[in-house]
Amino acid sequence: MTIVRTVLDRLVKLLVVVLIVSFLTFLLTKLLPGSPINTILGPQASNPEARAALESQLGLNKPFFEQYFSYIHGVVVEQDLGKSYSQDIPTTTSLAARLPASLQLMVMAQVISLLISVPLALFSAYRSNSKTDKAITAGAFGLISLPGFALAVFLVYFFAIQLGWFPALGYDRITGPKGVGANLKSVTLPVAVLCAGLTAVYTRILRSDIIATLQEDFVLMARSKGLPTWHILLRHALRPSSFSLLTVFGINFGTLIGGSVIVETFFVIPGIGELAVRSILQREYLVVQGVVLVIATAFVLINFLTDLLYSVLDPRVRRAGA
Amino acid sequence: MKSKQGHAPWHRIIGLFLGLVLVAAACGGSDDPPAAGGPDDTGETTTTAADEEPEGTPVEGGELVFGTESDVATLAPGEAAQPSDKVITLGIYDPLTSYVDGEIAPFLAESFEASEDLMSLTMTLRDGVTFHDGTPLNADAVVKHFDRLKDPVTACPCLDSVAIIESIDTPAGPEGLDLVFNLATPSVAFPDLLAGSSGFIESPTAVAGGLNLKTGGVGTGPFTLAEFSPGERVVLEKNADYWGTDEDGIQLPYLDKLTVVPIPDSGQRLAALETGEIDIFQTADSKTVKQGEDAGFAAQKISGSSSTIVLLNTSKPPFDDVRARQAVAYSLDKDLINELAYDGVRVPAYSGFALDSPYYNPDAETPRYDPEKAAALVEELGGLDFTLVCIPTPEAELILNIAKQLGEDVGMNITLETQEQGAYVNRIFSKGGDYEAACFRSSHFVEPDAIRPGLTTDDAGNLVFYSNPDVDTLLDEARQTGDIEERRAKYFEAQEILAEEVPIITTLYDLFGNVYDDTRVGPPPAGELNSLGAIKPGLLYTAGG
Repeated sequence: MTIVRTVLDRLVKLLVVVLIVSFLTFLLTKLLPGSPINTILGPQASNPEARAALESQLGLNKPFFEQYFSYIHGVVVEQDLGKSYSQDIPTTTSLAARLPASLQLMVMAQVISLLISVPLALFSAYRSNSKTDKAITAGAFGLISLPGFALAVFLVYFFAIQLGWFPALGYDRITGPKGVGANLKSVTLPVAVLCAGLTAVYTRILRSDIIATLQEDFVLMARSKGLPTWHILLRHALRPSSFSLLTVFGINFGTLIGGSVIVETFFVIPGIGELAVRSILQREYLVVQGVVLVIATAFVLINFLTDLLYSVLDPRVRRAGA
Repeated sequence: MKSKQGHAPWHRIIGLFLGLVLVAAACGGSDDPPAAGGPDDTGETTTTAADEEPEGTPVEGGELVFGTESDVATLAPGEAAQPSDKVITLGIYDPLTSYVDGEIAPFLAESFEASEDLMSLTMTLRDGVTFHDGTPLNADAVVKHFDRLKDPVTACPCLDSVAIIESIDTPAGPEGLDLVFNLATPSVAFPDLLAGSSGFIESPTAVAGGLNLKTGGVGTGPFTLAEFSPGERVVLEKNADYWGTDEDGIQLPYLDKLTVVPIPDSGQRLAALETGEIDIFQTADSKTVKQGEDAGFAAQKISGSSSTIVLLNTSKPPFDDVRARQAVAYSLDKDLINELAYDGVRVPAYSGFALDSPYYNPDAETPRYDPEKAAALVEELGGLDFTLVCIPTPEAELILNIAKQLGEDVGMNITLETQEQGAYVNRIFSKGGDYEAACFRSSHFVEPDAIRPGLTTDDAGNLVFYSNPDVDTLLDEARQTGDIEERRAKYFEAQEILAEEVPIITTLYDLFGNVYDDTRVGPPPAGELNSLGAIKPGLLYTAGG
């Protein structure tokens, strides 16, 4: 089956990409200025026993490629991403503790952005150049220009300090004592910050694609058949117009990981981005290595899924891929 | 002695060399783990601005939420050094000694006494104290603690400092309370070491059971560690069996519960204080202290425990010429830097000692701003070109640019360079001293011997390659006597030479602060010495009501 071959083909490419990524992240500790031992140990670097211990922990006493393969072996076979030097916490444990918050932010931001941007874009495209369209376009433009951290400060001032509706920081776990309500309250402002930029981008992209689609002959045909406007927009125009959106949507999972770093740090949310920042500041290179590997792999996987979705949306892609 | 610190290697190093050191204009401000982890075992002096005695009547019970600037780096005894680590570990553990009104005094120890020749220290522990897990505190626990720190496998940053302990005798047996520390070299400063995190005694039972001391802790302190969630919170709960009481005999701690939340962003710390999510936060950022006050909160200011300094490499041109060093010293308008970079809340520093140190020689301060003298010296030298290097933080860049402008006003030609922290530290500490002028942070220690390594000929801690046999002799003699007057005379004399030769220029004392809502929190206890503004959480109390 061609579709199976396409998928297999992509999977192989994906594996290659992940391997390259893993190699590059592995290089991280090698590219540090000076010796990583000096950097990590600080004043203890003059202590031969401590050096030897850390060297063997980092595997620095082995040849370079052997180090890499034993690292990969550890990751694949034992799910061992190393552990933090200063606290002895396995990276997998830290990641597991932080995954829920990050996932929640990411998924909520993406879903809510789509829920807002699709209707806005449809309306905007349908009434293109109307006053409403111009307002939406201008608003979206404004939101794109507004950096997340600036918006965050504004939202905290207004909704946390002045109105007191939401907490200014912190993350209440769904499983925590205060339950789902507190959880949703605690993620409202961070998700809003993440959504602002996404919604704006999605709306603008989808709007211009729909406007282009609406010029197509088959839309004219549908109109002439007397189909209701909403039917044309939803059934005829939306699907062929959503390719750029889908691409950007996939890529944005990557951007969101970056965006989450700022949002998580600002709002003190124990997520993966916050872990990355913290590890970098504390020079926990083994943790950074593990975190980057996981993020990169997730990013590659999501884009692989996005690619697959193309073929679902458009039969032509399926055939072309063969 | 030295200390550990989590974040910045340079800070660890400071601790290590105790000398005048470290970074820059660089790290005090901003939101990063600030003056993270300076010397902890070292003993800088802290003064509470305004010197006000905390007023108010302690309220028993209740809970508070404390915001810190950074997440916990480590809780391990001997390693914890950052203010955020300290505020938690001072809850879980008790140091053997502590400072009372600036004087070293027994704490978990009931008494101690140094021998005449300063080669040993006899100590008696408090009777009837138990660890949180029920293990009794005795000589054995202390011996095991120091054995652990001295074990290279522990890789404690305190290793070099605890190496001074050659052996520990337990005259009353391991179950007894008596200890004799036999030292490798005479030291008046040994009790100071025990006031830092190296003096935090952990439960030997817990360690034998495999406890990870970096993320857990079983001590004798006023609080037990109830929850440790990295990046989220650390929860301390009252140790109902705590041995300590306050002056009025009220059992400590006052609080039932203290939650410590890391909030890296200074604006968010203030926002959280306004919304009531936290009740008090610590900061090393002068601007945040001021913003807190402007927003109507109370602020406890703790200054003088360290300062930003300029290292001048005396081993090569242009700073092998004393006139070049003096010219830079005369060119720096510290009041202007204070005004432009810190809203004027800091205090200019003209000595390697803290203002309230008994060893501070007011008659031997380093040169004050005098552009004419600076210009004359530059002219005499036929110009002065040099590169000033620092790490790339906004604060450092601001200050560097002010310094550059001030230097150029008097005819110097200064090139600014910034370098990423890791590379920077490697460079400054490289054997050859691959720099001309560099920014750093210096800690000011209670124990004055701390300045010795940084200024002694050929010492590994001497980053400026300064060499003056008279200074070597004075600093060496000063540490071999326990007589305060005699020591003071030596240090005073050394400062006179240093003020003339300025191998290192101090700029401004750092400022640490605890900003709090005084409707919810009673006046916090005075800042711990050596702890960059950290306070003993056992003495915190709510405002009641």
